[in-house]
Amino acid sequence: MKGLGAIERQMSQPIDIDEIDVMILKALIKDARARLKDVAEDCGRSSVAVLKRIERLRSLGVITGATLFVRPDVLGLPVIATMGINSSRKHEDKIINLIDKQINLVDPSASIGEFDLFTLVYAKDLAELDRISGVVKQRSGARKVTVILWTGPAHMIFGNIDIQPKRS
Amino acid sequence: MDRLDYFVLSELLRDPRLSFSTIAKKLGVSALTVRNRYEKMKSEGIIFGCVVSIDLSKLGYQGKAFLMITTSPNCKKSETIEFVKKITDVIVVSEIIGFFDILAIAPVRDIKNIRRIVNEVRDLPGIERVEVTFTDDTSFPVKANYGELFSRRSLNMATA
Repeated sequence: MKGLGAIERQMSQPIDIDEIDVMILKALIKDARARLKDVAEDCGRSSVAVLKRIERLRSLGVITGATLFVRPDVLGLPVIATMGINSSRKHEDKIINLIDKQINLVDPSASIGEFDLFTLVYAKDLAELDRISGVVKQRSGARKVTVILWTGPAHMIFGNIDIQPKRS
Repeated sequence: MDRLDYFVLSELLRDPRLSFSTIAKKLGVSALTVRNRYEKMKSEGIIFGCVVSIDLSKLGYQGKAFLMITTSPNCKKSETIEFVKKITDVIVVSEIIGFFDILAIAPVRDIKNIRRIVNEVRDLPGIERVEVTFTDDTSFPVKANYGELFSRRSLNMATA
């Protein structure tokens, strides 16, 4: 099984990316639907070259898709909260399963620090938020569920991530 | 917002890379109509971004840090939020009610970088306390299931 470990290590090695790849990623963070021609112009490369790079980043699993961000109140979900869950280890899988089934809970993650699990909740009003929190508590065996309500507009500044080129 | 807007949104939320002509064919309208609806919703701020999804673990990142920031009573939260937004690698900031005052989310490259971010927050005026929780989630900006909730919701509103 020695070979398998080496393969696993290789698969988890960070991918080499250069300055042009970084420029492309930054352009697609700004707008994943940007026209290839415009991205190529911004990077000072041909459309063909940029397309090849994007295909490479996709095939290596760096680019996995795209996300559209919509004002949640337009979809009747103006209430946003983070739910921090404290549980015993044996309940963690149960809780993650529950979160996957509950349509209002998104972006669940196991965490270390203040909470064991962290998830984002969208609800139509505070009463629904309260209900969801109750369901999670009851059905999951969680020791404690902490609801952290987001007030004011959430500021999403994804372009602020400072991706660096990497060469091994 | 009319039914068609919600139908278009529902398609794009499910797969943001769909071409306007593919959506148009499915909805029985012209591609130009779909494009116009999309541009209208963008200009009205209903759609406020389409962001490429990146698996940051492939770029050497280890997870995300959630900074739970407590400000002093006389501190103007909105001003502090503007400062926090300027810190490199902070990708989400929101005012919070309850156990602390401001939440900031930053992808984690390594301990040195997270320390830099936390220290930059601590150095801001009016900061009383910064606590941090980490997740090993390296999906950027959010997990793949994020769009599903909103896509279904949009479809419900289109067919209501």
